[in-house]
Amino acid sequence: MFKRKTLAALTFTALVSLTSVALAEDATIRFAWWGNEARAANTLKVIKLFEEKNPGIKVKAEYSGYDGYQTRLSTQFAGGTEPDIMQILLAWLPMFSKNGDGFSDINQFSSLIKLDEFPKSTLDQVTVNGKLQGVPIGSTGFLFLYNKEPWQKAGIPYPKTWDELFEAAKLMQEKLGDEYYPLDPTTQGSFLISLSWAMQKYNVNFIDANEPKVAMSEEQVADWLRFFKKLENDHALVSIKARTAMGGASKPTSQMPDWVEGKWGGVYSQDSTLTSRADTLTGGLNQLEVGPYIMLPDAKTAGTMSRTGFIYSISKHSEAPEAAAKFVNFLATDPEAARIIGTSRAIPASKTQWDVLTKEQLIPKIQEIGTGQIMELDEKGLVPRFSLYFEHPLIYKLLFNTFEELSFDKTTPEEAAPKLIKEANRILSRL
Amino acid sequence: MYESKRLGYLFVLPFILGILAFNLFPFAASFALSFTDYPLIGAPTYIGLENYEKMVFDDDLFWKSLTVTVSFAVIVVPARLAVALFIAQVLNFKLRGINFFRAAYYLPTILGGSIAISVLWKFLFQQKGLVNIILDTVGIDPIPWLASERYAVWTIVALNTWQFGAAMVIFLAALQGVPKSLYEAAEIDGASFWQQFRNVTLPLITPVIFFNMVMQIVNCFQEFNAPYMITEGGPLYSTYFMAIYIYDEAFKYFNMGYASALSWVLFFLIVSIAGVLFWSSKYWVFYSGEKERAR
Repeated sequence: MFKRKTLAALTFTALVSLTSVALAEDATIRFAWWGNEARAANTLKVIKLFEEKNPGIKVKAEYSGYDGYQTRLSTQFAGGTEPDIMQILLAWLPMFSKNGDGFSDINQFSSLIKLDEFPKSTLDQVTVNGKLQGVPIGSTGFLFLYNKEPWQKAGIPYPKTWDELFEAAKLMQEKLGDEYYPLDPTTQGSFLISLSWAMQKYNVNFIDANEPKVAMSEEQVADWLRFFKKLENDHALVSIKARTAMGGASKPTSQMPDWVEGKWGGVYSQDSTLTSRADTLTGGLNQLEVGPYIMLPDAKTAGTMSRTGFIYSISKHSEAPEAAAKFVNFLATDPEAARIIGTSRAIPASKTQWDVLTKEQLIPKIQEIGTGQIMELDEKGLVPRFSLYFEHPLIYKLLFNTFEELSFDKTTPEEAAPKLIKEANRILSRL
Repeated sequence: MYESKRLGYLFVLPFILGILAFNLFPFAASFALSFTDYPLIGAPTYIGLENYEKMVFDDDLFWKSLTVTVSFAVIVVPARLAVALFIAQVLNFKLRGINFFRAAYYLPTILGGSIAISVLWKFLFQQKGLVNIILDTVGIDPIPWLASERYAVWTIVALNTWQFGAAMVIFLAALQGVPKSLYEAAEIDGASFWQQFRNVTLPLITPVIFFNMVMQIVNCFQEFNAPYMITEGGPLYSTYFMAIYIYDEAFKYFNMGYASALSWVLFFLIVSIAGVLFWSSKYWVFYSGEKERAR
C-alpha cells in the first residue's frame, strides 16, 4: 500500500517537474503598442525574427490605433492583466507609476538589456524614485517644418527670428492672399510655439521641472498669452478659431485641405512625426524642408519641448519578465531589428540602431536633418527640461481652453494669466 | 410541469446572466463608485458626497453641459416630433409610389446615428462646406457654423431633427389605426381638414405621441456621437453635452468616481422628466376603451 502511494506521489512530482521545465523554456509574452499600418507590419516582422532566434519564446502582438489605447491599457492595469511589454508615452508615467512602483524596474534586467546604448539624460527622464520604468525609444523635439511651395512662390526666406516671422506673415498675406499663413500650429502647437518664445525671453518654464508647481510669474504668463494673440492677429499662425471653422481644431495638419493645397507654409511639428506631414502632399517629402529654429537674439534656451517619444515598459505582473526583457533588448538595440523597423517606431534612441539607420541611409534625409537640429540644440544646452506634468491631460485641457478663449476673444491675456496660474497650481497639487 | 419550468429557466439563463453581469452589476457598481475617488489604477477611496458637492458648488462645466443638454432636448424633441408627425401625415395619403417615399424618409434614421453621417455633416457645415457654398450662390456670406457658439449647436440640432424616421414610422402606424368612420362623420358635420386633425387625429394618437416623446427625451439626453464627431464639444463648450462630459471624465482623465456621479445625475434627470411625463399623461393622453373599462 505504502509503495503504491509513494509511486503515485513520485509519478506526480515527476510530471509536475517536467511541466515546470517545459514552462520555463516555453514562454508566451504579450506586447502591446499603438501605431499605423507600417509600424504594425514591421513590428510583426521583427517579432518573427526574434522568435526564430529565441525558440521557446512566443510573442503575442496586441496592437491598435492610438484612440482608446490608453483606456484599454488602464482597464487592464486596474485588473492586473496588462501585457508583459507595453509601449507607453512618457507623459503617462505620473498616472501609471507615480512612485516608480507601477512597472518592473528595468535596472534589474541590466544583464539582458544593453542600457549603455542609451544616453544617460534619456534614461534619467524615465527614472522615477531611482527605478527605471522603461526603455526609451528616441527623443523627439519640436521644430519648424516648411512646405517649400508658398515660400518660393512669395519669394520669402524661412524666418530665423520672431520679427522675421511677422514680416514673412505680412508679405505672404500681401503677395498670396488671406488664406496663406506661414505656420499651422496644430492644437498643442498653439500654446507650445508661443511658450517657446516666452521661454526664450524669460528663460523659465511654465511648470517647474523639479516640482509640480507653476514657475512663471503672472506677468510672464500674461506676456506669453499676449504674444500668442499677436501671432494670431498678425496672421503668423492659423488661428484656433479658423481651424475650428474648417472642421476641428484638433485635426492633424496633413488632413487639413489648406495644407494639402499648399496654402499653409509650415507646421510646428515634432521631428519624430515630420514624415507624416508629407502624406497628403503631391510632392511628398521633397516638398518639405526643415527651417532654422526661430529664436530671440541672445536667448539662453530655444524653448522647444524635447523629450523621450515613448518607452517600452515591462509589467510587474509578468510571469516571464526575463523573456520580456530579452525581447525589449532585441527591439530597441538590435541592428537587424533596426533594419526592419526603420523609423516606423520613431527615431531609435539606441546608438547602434541610430548608426545603422544613418550609415546605411535607411532614414529619409529630412528626418536626419530634423533630428540633427534637435540634437544640435541639445548639445548647445538650448533644450530645456520640461516637467512630466506639463503633458498631463488636465494641464493640456486647461491650456487648450485658455488659448481657445483667447482665440475667440472671450478673455484677455491679463484676465486669463492669473486664472491659468491658479487653476494649474490647483491641478498640480492634486496630482 | 416543474420540469418544463426548470427547462424554461435554463433557456433564459444566458440572458439573465448577461443582464446581471453587463447591466445590473455595472449599474450598481457605478452607484457605489459615485461616492469614491477612483482613478482606475489603484483602489477606490470612499469620499462620501464629495463628488456630488463638487458638481453642484464647484464645477462650472457641469452646469454648462447640463444647460447645453437640456436646451438641446427642449429644441430637438418638439422639432423631431413635429417633423415626424407632419411627414407621417403626408405619407398617410394614398399617393402613387407612396412606399418609395416612406422608405426614403426612413433612410436618414438608419444612417443618421452612424459615425459616417456625422463626418459627412462636419464636411457639409465647415467653412468651405456645401451649406456655405449654397448660401454663397444666393449672396449670403459664409457662416462659421462649427466655429460659432451661436450656430454650432444648430448643426447638431439639424442632424437630430433629420433623424425623425423612427418616430415617423410609429406615427404612421398610429395614423392608420384611426378609424375611418370618425373622419367620415366629421366630414359630414362639415369639419375642415385642420379641424379633423385637431379634434379627431390628435386625441386618438396621444398614446403614441406620449410614447415617442418619452423615447426622444431619453435619446436626446444621451446624445453623444454627433457632438463628439462634428464639433468635439466645442467651440468654447457650446456643444459639450453631458454624455461627452461623462466620457471625458471617465476615459480621458480617468476620474471614474466623478464620471459615475455625473452618470447618476443624468440618470435621475431622465427618470424625473419621464416621471413628470407619466404623471401628466393622465390629463392629456387618451387611451381608447378606458371609459368603457371604467364603467
